[in-house]
Amino acid sequence: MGSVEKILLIGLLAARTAAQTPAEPGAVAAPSPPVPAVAQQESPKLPPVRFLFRKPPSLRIGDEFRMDFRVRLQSDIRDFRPDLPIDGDTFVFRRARVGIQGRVYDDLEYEVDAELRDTDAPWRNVFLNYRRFRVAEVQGGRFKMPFGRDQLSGIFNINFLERSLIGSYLAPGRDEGAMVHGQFADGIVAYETGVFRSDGDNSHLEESPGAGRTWAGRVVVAPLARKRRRWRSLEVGAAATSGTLPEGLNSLTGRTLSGYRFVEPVYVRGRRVRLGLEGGWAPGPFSVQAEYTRVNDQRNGQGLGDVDLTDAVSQGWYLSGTWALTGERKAGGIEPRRPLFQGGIGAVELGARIEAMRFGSGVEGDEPPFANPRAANLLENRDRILTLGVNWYLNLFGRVSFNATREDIKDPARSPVLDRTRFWGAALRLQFVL
Amino acid sequence: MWCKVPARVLVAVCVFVALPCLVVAQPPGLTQDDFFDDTTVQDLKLTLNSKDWAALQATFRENTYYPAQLTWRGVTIQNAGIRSRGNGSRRETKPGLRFDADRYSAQQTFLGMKSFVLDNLVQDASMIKERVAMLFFRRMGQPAPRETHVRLYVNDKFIGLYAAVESIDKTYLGRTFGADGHGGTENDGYLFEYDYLGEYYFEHRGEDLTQYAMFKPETREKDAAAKIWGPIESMIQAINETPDNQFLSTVSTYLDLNLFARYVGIENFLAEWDGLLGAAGMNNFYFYRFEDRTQSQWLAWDKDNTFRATDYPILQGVGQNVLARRALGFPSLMNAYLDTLLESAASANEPDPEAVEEFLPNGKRVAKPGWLEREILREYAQIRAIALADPVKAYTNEEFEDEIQRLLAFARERSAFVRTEVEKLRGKK
Repeated sequence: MGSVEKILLIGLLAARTAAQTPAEPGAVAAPSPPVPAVAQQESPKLPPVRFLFRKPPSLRIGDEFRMDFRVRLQSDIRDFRPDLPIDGDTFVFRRARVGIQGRVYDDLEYEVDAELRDTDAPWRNVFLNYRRFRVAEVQGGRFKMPFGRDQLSGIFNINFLERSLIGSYLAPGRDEGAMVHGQFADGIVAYETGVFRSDGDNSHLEESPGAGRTWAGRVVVAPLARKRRRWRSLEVGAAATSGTLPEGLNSLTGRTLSGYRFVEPVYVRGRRVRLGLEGGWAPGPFSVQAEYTRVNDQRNGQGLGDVDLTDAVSQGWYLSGTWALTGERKAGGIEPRRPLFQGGIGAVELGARIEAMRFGSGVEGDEPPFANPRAANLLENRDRILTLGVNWYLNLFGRVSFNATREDIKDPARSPVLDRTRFWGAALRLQFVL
Repeated sequence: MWCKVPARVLVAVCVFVALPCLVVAQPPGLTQDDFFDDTTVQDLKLTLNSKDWAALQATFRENTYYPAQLTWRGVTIQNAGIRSRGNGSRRETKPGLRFDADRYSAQQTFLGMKSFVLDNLVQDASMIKERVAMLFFRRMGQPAPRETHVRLYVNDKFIGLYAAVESIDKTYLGRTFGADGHGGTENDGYLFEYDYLGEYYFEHRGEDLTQYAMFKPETREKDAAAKIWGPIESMIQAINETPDNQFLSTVSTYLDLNLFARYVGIENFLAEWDGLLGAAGMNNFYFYRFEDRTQSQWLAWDKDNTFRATDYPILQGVGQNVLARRALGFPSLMNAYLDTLLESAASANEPDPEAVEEFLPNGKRVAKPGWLEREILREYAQIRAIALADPVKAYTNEEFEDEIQRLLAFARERSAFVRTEVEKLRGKK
C-alpha cells in the first residue's frame, strides 16, 4: 500500500469520525476532534506534512500543527401566503462560508471563518483559544458571546431553516472580546464568562450601535452526565449579559420570517440586561429543547418632558422537538447510518417548534399604550410562529430541509399586510457541508 | 375553536372602546372652528423630549418625526408626531413644523384633523400676509386653508409667533368639495403638492412620466405611475400642442378654464410673485384631480410672498406660463380674468357696512378703510405684542412695523391701480 493510498484510507476513516462532531465549532470553543486512533498508531510511518481528504479536509504537520478546511453552502427557496415582499429573493443563495480551524501544539486553538455572501462584514469567527488548563481556557477575538442555546448552535446544525426568534433577535450573537471558559465537576458544570466590545451583531443589525462594553456569562449544568446513558445529554442552563446603552433609538427590534420589522426601535438610555434560561435533552433519536429570554432596556430621561420611563422589555421563548425516523442518535448531530447512494436513503428527521417574541414595556400608572418611541406604555406587538419541518440527511455532506410555518402578528397595524395578522410560509433548503 | 372566538371578541371590544377615546380626545363642544377662530391668538403647547427638540433644530432640513404631546384649551393629544417642514422657510432657530396627530396611531385625530402646519412666518416681516391672503381667497369664493395665529410654547418655553394652517389632505378635500357623485365624500381622487424643483412653466417634457415628479402625490401614492402622472402628462401635452381651434374644448376636459382664470386673477391682484404665475416658475399650490374624472383644480397654498408691490403688473407671468398665455389669449377667458381683478379690487376696497358715515368740514365724505385695510389692522392689533416679543423672528421690530405700514399702503392703493390697469387694457382693445 503506497503512502498516497494510506493517506486516502486514513482520510476516509477520519471522515466518518469527524462526522460525529458538531460542525460549528468556535461558538464555545468546542474541542477539536481528536486525531484518529489509526493515524496515531501509524504515525511513525506517516510523512511529517500530509493532507487528509476527509470531512473536513485537513493539513497536518506532525502532531504540532493542524489546519482543517471548511466550505459550507446553503440555498433557499421561500414563499409566503398571502404574497409578501421578502427580504431577499424567493430563491436565494443564502450562505457561502469558508474557513480554517485547527490548533498549534495541543494548547492553542484557532479559527478563521468568513461569509462570502456578506461583503460588508464577512468575518464570522476569528479567535484564538488557549486551552492548557481545561478548567479555565482563555479565548480572545471575535466569536459568539455566551448567551442563548439556539444562537450558540451553528447555523448549519440547527434543526430548522431559521433560528428561533429569540435566538435571532434577542441573543447577542458575535462580538469582539475575551472570555474565560471551562468545565469542572467531571464535566457536569460548564461555564463561560467574558467582556465584549458591545453586545453582539444581533443588537446592531439595524441602525442601532447596540450597547457599549458588555459583560456576558453562561452556566450549563448536565446533572446526570455521569448517570445512565439516556440521561447524559440532559442540560439546563442560565445566562446573562449587562451593558450600557447609548442614548437614542437603540432598543432591540424584531422581524417576521419575511423580513418585515414588526416593531420599531424606541429611545433608550441606561443599562441593557439580558436574562436567559435554557434546557435541552437528546435521548436516542429524539431531542427536545426550550429557552426563555428577557431583555430589559432602561429609558432614563427618555419621556416627553425628559421624564424617566419604565424599561422597554423584549422577551420570548420557544419549545422544539425532533425525532429521527430512521433511528439515528441525535446527540452530537445526526449521521446517516445508511447514506444515500451507499445502499440507503440517508436519515430522515421530523421537527416541530412553537415560539413567540414580544416587545412592550412595563405599565406606568394608567397610561394608555402607544406605538410612539417615547410612549410611557409601549403598545405591545408580538410574533408567534409554529414551524413544522423535515430534514433529510443525504449523507455526511448533503442535507435537504423543508419547513412549513404559520405566523401570527398581534398588532394588525404593524403587520406585513395592514389589518392581516396570519401568514403561511414554506421554505426549502439545500445544504452542503465539507 | 372555542378559544379563537373570545380572542377576536376581546380585540373587537378593545378596539370599539379605545377608538372613540382616541378620536374624541377633547372636551365636547370644541371644534375645528374654535381652533381656527381668528378673533384671537391661540396658545399652543408642545411637549417633547428636549433631545428631540434639539435634534429637530439641528437637522431642520430633514423630515424626521419626533413624538410630541399637544395641548390646546384643555385638549391633549398624547401620541402625535412633529417634524420640520418647508422649503425656503426652513430655519434652525425657528423651525417650521408639521403636526401629525395620526403619526403613531392611524385613527387618532385632533378635532377631526389628521394634521396641521405651524408656519414659522420667517419669509414675511409683517407675519400676517399668509393669513390675510388666504382669507381673501376664501372671500373670493376660492378654497383656501383656514389659519390662525398661534403663540407657540415648547416644553413650557415661548418659542415664537406662528400661524396654524389647515393641512390640505383628504379631510380638507372632503370639507371643501362635499359630496361626490356616488353618495360619498369627494376626497378619493389624486391630490398633488407642487414640489418646486426649478423653473417650470407648463412646458410639455415628453412622455417620460418622471419628468412630472414635481407633482408630488399626497394621496394614492402607491398607485401605478401611469395612473398617477399619466393624466398630468396628457393634460400638459394638450395645453402645449392642441391647435387653437380645439384648445378650449380639449383642455376643458382637464381643467375648468374659467376657474383657472379666476385663480390666477386673485393671485395677481394680491401681487403674489411666488405662485402659479411666479417670477421663477410655478410654485405654491396643490392640485386635485377629482375622483373618476380627468378634471383637476388648483388649491391655494403658502401665500407668504403676496403683496409684493402696489404696482405689481396685472399680467405678470401670463406671457411666460404656457397655460396662462394660451388660455388668456381667448377673449372670453381674458375677460373672466380681468373681471376677477376688478372683483378683487372691489372686494378689497369694500367699506365696512356698519361704519358710521363721517364728513369733513368741507362736506366731503371721510374715506373709510376697505376690507383689506381693516383686516390688516385687525390682525396687526392681534399679533403686535406677541410679534415684538418673538425672540427668534427673522426680522427686527422696526422691519415688522415698516412692513405693516407698507401693507396698509398696498391695501389703500392696490385697488385703484388694478382698476386703472384693467381699463387701460380694455381701452386698448
